[in-house]
Amino acid sequence: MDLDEALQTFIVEGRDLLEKMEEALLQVEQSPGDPDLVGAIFRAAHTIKGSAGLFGLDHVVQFTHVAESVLDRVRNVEIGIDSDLVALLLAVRDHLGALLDGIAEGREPDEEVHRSSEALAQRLRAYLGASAEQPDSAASHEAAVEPTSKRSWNIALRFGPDVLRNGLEPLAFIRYLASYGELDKVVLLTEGLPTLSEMDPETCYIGNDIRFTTEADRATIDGTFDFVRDDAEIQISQVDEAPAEAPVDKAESAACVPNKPAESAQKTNDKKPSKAVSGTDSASLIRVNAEKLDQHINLIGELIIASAGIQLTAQRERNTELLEAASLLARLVEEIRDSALQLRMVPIGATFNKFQRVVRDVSQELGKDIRLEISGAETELDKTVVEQIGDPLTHLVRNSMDHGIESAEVRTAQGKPAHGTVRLNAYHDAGSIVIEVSDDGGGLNRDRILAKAVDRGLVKADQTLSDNEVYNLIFEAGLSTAEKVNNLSGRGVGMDVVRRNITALRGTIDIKSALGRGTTMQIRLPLTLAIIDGFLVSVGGSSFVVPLDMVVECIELSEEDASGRDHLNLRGEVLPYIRLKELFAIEDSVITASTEQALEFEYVGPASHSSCDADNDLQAIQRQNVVVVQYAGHRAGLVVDNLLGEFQTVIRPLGDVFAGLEGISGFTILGSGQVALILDVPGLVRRVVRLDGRRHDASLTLAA
Amino acid sequence: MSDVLRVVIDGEFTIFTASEIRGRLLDALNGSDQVEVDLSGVSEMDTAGLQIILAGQLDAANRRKQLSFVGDSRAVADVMAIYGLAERFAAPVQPVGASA
Repeated sequence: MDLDEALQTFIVEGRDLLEKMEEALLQVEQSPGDPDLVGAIFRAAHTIKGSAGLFGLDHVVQFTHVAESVLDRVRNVEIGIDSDLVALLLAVRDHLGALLDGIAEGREPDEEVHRSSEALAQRLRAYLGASAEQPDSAASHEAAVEPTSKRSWNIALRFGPDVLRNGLEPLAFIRYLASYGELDKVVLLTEGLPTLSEMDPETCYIGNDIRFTTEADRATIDGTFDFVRDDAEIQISQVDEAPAEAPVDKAESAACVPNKPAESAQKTNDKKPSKAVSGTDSASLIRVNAEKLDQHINLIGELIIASAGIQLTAQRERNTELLEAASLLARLVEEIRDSALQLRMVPIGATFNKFQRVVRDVSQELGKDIRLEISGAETELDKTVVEQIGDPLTHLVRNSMDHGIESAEVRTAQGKPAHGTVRLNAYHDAGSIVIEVSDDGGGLNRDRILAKAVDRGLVKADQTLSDNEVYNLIFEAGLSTAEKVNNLSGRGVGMDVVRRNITALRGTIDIKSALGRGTTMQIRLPLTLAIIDGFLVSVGGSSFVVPLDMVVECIELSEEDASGRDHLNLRGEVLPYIRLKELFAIEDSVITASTEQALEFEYVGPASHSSCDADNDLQAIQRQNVVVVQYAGHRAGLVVDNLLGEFQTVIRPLGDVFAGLEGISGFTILGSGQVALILDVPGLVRRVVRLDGRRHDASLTLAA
Repeated sequence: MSDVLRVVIDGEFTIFTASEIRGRLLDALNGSDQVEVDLSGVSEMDTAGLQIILAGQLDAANRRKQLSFVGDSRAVADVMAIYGLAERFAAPVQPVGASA
């Protein structure tokens, strides 16, 4: 048995349990009578305690035991759950999380840890010491009100010979008992012990007779020995205590008669020893090492490139059979790619749910009544994205709560409900996932932001900016129009970090706001980070890839539209465009041999996903084409030379050297071995829109 | 009077070292009628270690040899305390032959 691995599992599953515990705690406040919720909370504590005992983590056992005792009483409807107890239990949960962290880092618990444990334990014990009467508890009256009673037990342990070999230690069990009761007497039985020369040093020859006094019930004591059940004989019998109380406990009823020593021996060997912490609900889930999954996807990326190379060769050879086989291969590779990427997708609901706690805590800190609404929890996104989106989201939520939502007085004066609402929403849109953080607060104050920006020298006083541009100023470092700075937000160091984090995920963030009504922060992230369907184009001698999910259509650039202006008429719609040749300063190139190959023999995807067809006519270099792309509701045209068809490819990140490069978000290697740059469509669209907006505003001012 | 053979046990006295320590003890008992085992350096002890001690005592008794366990080790004392064997192994005992 690999102890290290087992310990890792304990920590991972322990954290899972703590999450469940927190969820249940937050819900139980609304429905205190719900036995399922209470049961879940109890089980979390109980299971963690049990496993911790197995690893000899006494400080965890002792702490959790007190919590478990309290929860047991809640479970038995002896004490009720109110918001004070929930708050205490949340603190307990947090402390357990800290204890697990300490164990994960291999730290021995120090004085401070013990003090914190003890402080919380004291508060918990207050719920145990008091009499159990709860006259207005909502549950049924038949549950017996049982005062605390210590009982004494005789525990006979006869260990099998393999106990030690199997990694179990009798002393650990005894110490564990000591954590929730008193060991009145422990007798070591050595009848079977041979002499030193005859013995096998790894065989267990001893047994124990223990007299043990505790408040815990038989089931708990029995549960102590879960892991050694196969290797030992365990007999637990009660020694009757003071005659005063006759506990009404179904398990005991047969055995307990006051004033008579009652002994009911029960052989407890029906349960099989279970692995450390029983997993979650579904037996159809397995844990996979995230690194292995990444390697898997990398390999598939290589597979895709290799497959593209085969297409190329097949086309060059003009061998029909080979072409068919290569085509089939491409289709299958595409399927594997999709399914592998699916493996990494997880619903965002779990992340959203964590915010219940955040909103609750921050509400209290701010003294505002703020509720959280969640929608789109089932929307799935890549696991790594989920992990990295937490921090930015937290900052945005806190911002909304702190600066967005006004105080109750202000709100009611405006005819709004006294409680504020923060809403988290997620949905898919054209190859991206959109996550929105909205609030029904006061909205962004355009003038104040502008004034502050001018003040900070970020903007010149006479500059004309669109509303959107002004809002986006809040992402500049050092800009905060918060009237009060507290330790939550307002120092102006948050939003720029948020935007940076989101850009690092190749995403974008936009702001929609209405003064007096509220603000929505809209984050867009690509669904897949690694592999994309692309549309290949050439500009001069260079090749570029446009992410296919953002391509709307391709059209020719007529001479009329091409002459000097930046807009074209797309069936009545005015479409702004950019010439990539100008943008990237590409010279009209000499067509080299390799470019020729790329132009002629680029692979066309099995099924055309877009309304763009490859243009293989070399003559057509004179004519230019426009790839119409769309992002976040805006459209723009990208003027290119040739359209070369669809293909799928692996995005490779550009090195740090290229970090400041605008308009490019990565590169890939074509089947021909040539490098193609991947266009940053969101960035390009914004650029076009920005230029357009300025011109629009400028022309308005002129017209005025 | 034969010489006292001192055996020093340092570090772990657990199932991981039980076999090796048993071998050393057996050698010692074979080589002398008086063996003294110094446990003061024991950092950790478990049931396997305890068994060695007890089995050793049995062995010694059978062969009419003297086997004593001396030295003050927290780990050993803890185990002894749980099993109520503290009196049998009252520590610290002055090692035979130790100079002041």
